[in-house]
Amino acid sequence: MSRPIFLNTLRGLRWHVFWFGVGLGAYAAMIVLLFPSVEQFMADAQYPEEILKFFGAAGSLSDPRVFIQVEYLSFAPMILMMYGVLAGTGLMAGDEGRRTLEPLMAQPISRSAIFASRISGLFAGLAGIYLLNLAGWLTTAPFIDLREVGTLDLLAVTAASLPVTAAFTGLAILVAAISPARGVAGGIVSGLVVISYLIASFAQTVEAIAWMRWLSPYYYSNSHGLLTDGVVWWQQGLLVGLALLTFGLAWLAFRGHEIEAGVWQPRALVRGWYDLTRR
Amino acid sequence: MDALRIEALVKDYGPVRALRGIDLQVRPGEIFGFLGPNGAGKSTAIRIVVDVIRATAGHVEVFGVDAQRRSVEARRRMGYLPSDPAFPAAMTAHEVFEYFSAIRRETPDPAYLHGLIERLRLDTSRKVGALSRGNRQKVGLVLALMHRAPLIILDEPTTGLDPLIQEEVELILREVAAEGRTVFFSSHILAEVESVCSRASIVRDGMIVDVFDLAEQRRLAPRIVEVEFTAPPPAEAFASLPSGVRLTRRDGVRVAFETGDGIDGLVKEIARFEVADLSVRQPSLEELFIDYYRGEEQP
Repeated sequence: MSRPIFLNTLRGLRWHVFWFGVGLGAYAAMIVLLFPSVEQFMADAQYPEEILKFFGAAGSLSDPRVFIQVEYLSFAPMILMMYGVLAGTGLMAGDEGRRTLEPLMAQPISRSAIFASRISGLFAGLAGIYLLNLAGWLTTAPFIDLREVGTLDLLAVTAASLPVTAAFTGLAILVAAISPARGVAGGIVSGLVVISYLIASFAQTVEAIAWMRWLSPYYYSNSHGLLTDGVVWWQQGLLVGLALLTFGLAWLAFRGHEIEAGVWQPRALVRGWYDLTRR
Repeated sequence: MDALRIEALVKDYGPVRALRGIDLQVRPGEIFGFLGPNGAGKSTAIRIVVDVIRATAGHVEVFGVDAQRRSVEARRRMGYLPSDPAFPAAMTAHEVFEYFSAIRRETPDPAYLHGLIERLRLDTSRKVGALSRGNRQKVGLVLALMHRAPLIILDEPTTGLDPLIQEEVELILREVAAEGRTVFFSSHILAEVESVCSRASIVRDGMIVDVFDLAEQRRLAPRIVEVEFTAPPPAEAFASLPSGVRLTRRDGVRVAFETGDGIDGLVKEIARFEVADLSVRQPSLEELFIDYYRGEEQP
């Protein structure tokens, strides 16, 4: 682990962290502040059942748990995952595109140390976003009657978005390490994030494809039921396992990655493994 | 022990073989030129030495250290300038030097660093992202040199620099060699290699086609004899030339020959006709080099 690389990574991500964090925090605050008005309005009205199902919710939006699930938790993990994709692909492929990775890799420091330092920077950024997000809850929730939803519940459900974010971030780094350019990697992983979201949502609406929800990592984050059903630990555990797998593969691929090859490098994984076992 | 030893280096990019078995030894304290046109494989070979890309086959050692298996240790002995270098755009040049020193965990000698900055006329207070190509090259040069590594590897070091700075860089490289350190640099500027290097190699199509000592090369190089006659010699003239002499150009009254040890016979042959002007010179490295790239054998 290299402190200067860690700090420089964090410095490079600072505006991403600021804007994603402030955006999510402001959105969280707005949802809380809107609830009293929505509560009154929704006492006599309701979204169609299919719409609620699409967001994985059931019940009345005048219930603060359902309201927050539909209006906030359906979107927030998606936004966090976009940070993961942007930052993850930028860490390696972005720097390579700017040609700043080669002088770094030419220094007497191992690729594993570069990887660990950069990943630490990325996660420190994610923690920063989380804290700014929490600030949105903490500055508003104590002053609004959210009934059974306590401030701690809000902190916990926000944290529950982190494993799925980590899994897609690891995937973004992995794809960036084997793809010819950052744009390609970003496009592929963003597409997978959106597909995962849509599968998780439609599978809850259309009975015929209900089985497909199990294929979507997004579904396992259980964002639609965190406040009503609580955290499903085995699903979160599965996502943590998926994150560890993607980061492990990304680490191998980075060890075997070749600078500016301009082509797909699936063999980077093999080279990384060879590197690990033979060097 | 060689400063750099490359053995049977092969690199494939899919079906394309970029390097086809390069062998090279660079001795400590010398300035070694690595000549070749774009696409010959120079940067690929250098990047394998630095371990930012991996060889398909072959072996690289830096001062006896396996540059692939113990790459961190090998890179500890190197200062490296990539081709067309780039650095984090938000940093000033000064911050770039601090950043990379912190990564290396080595503090450069402040007087030496300051000297390099002064001699290359680099403004270290400006953000790297706002620097011109030439100034980024200067940042890369300082970065490669400032830790006084025993082996300095430079990929096209004078690209983008003005002639005065190019001269200064050549001077710095000579000083590096005088300190007993080694310089390995790639270039396609032949005059630069000719004026700075003690030895050089020529790489073409991923292969080393020759390695030569420049002083020895100059001693052994053939002479080029250019003659201007008062009238065009008859067509049958110079049909049979002495051994070791070759007619290279004939254009009316002007005729050029190339000769190794047959100068006496050639002078007698020329003297059969009235001579208006005559010059004898050694070919420049450029002329030798162009022959290689035309695929001709070295005379």
